[in-house]
Amino acid sequence: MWMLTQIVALNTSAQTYYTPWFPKSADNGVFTLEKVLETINGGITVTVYTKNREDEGSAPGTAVGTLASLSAAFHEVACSGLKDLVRFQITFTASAAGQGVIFRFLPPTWYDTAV
Amino acid sequence: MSTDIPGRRISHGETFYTDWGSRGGDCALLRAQVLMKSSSSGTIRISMETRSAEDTAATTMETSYPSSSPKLLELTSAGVKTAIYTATPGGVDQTGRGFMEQYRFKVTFHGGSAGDYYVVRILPPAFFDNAVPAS
Repeated sequence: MWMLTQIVALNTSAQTYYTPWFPKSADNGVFTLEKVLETINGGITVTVYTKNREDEGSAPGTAVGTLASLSAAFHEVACSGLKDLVRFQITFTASAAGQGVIFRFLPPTWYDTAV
Repeated sequence: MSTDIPGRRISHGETFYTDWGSRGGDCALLRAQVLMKSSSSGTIRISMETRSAEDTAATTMETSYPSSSPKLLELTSAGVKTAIYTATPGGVDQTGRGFMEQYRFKVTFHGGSAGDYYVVRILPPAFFDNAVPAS
């Protein structure tokens, strides 16, 4: 069952969060975020990272794209050349404690290079 | 792994429908990729139609993105492009948005001239349901 994610800023420091790594299903993917509610001035930035299974450490991996707005609610990015694993980085800086965002990631569209 | 040849050549003047499939949710992301384009002014228009399982007629759906006419997925250049269908409270009867039990694609070569063609593949639609009350 899908549940919405809610992130609330407890202070005005820059915040960075990562989702867990998940395996790619193809070499390329289009990733979509649906933003349900946002009260963070300046918004949030979501970046797609990728790495191989054998890569060690807590480094975020290689950035392969940043989600951009399609409409007020939907944001997407098409990424190519994905490695074994993929995850999202969510960053924002609130201007006041208590600001937050409610969002969810929709199922990615996976595809391999055809030409 | 699929070894199918990806994409299909769609030529000037052509319109066709895919088979019916079962929806996976009330809303969907539709994505298609232009692999090759040989046309200076023609475009490919992909729209979705929906019906109940017992129906014989289809209802043309309208995208919420793009939100301006034509409310469908229009391909004009190489690459992947997205259209979004989000359900409304009244379902398909009010605005042509929100899936009934089945869906299919209608693919049309729009405009252009004789000899023009695209090679296009439709990626599997990603279905989802409303997270908050629809407006």
